Amino acid sequence: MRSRKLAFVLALALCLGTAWAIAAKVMSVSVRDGQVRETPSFLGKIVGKATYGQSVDVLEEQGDWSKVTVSGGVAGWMHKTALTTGKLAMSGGSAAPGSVSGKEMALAGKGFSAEVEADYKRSHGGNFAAVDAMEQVSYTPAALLAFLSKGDVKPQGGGR
Amino acid sequence: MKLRTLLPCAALVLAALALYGCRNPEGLSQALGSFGSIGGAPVGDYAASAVKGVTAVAHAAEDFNPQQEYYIGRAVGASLLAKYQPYNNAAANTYVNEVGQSLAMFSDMPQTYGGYHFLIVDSAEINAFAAPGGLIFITRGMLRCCSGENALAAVLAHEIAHVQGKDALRAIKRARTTEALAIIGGEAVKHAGGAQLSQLTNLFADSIGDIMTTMVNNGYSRTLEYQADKTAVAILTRTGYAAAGLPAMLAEMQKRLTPGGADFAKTHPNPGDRITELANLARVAEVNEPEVRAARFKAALGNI
Repeated sequence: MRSRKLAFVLALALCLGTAWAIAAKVMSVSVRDGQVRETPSFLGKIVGKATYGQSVDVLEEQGDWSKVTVSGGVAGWMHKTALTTGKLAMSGGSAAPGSVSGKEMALAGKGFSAEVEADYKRSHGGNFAAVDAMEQVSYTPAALLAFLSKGDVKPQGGGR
Repeated sequence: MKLRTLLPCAALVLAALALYGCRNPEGLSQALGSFGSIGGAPVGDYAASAVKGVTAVAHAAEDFNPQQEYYIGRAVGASLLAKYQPYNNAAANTYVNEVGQSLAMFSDMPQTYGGYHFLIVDSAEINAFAAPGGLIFITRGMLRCCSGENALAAVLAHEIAHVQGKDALRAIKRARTTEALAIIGGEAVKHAGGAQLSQLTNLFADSIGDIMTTMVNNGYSRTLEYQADKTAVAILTRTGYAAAGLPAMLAEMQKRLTPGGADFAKTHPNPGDRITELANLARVAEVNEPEVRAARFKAALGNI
């Protein structure tokens, strides 16, 4: 009898598997300059910024967008691809010993970093200046939609 | 008795989760944690061995975090730009970025750590490269295969698909990835310095080498290329370009590719095969572009 109840619980848990994913509360910013917007759209007004590794509480999801509160106070919408599951421990010393797994340390930006890049550049060279210049070219979603519109390119269903 | 009924149930749940985990290994391990225990033994323990295979597969590409992917991409870009010179034509590069960044916005991965950036390189080869994280390079030779903006969009969408699929990261040898992630995951790296730094730098350099070899010499598997074409069609359609732009562009490329050449002829399946593979999604057709679009393409790339 008890086992039947447990089996039911397990089946229910299975059904709720996807719902669980949504219920996961804490996520981390996975892009360098995360934008928090007023509405769930790339055209939404930017109400705040969130930087790589900062943790956010996910309050709601709508399509590709998550409504979040960034640690520190700002609330708004972030695109789901700017977020990653789990908590990122950013600074080596702040977390209590044992509270951060190896996996989380890997997520915390250790390893392949600016420091490794500099060391690699010394030994292997490469045209990093050209890469730096390339990274400067960036357009806002509003400017890109205007560009498409001027060329009579009509996105299906508007900006994601 | 209790255990005998419970285990099949648990197995069923784990099987379903393993399927889910193929797409989301990180979510999987958390989901397992949230199940608590059965008969005193944590479900996660059974799961650990049951889904080890899933995790091992994911280890190759997904376990590099976005910041590491970004640095790998920068170094791949720096290596490519030591081999190919940037084409210094601001108007042409601006235009390619406008088209490319617009497409990226409609991909499944519109945001990456450092964003998407496009650059024309000064080479007559028919070639294009996508470095991890969103640095995309296209040769003048490839642009000459493009009859209009729609065709250009098709090429760029294919490259964005490689970024989205993390295909370049998959080129890093498995053993290397495992070793790198083991060092990165280790507590000691908190204070990276000396031996550890040089060990990491060596692994980093070897990883860049793996990617360059695949990207420039060997090419990705046919499967990955066909998949990138299919993803490109989705990106084109969402953005508002004609899907036919891709097969049309491939047909033009076929005319221009020199068999045995050191460019796309070497690293990609034959354009004809790619067209055949795409037949269910998009067929070769003339893409008529509005005057204003044709004019801006000509103004930016007419003399490429």
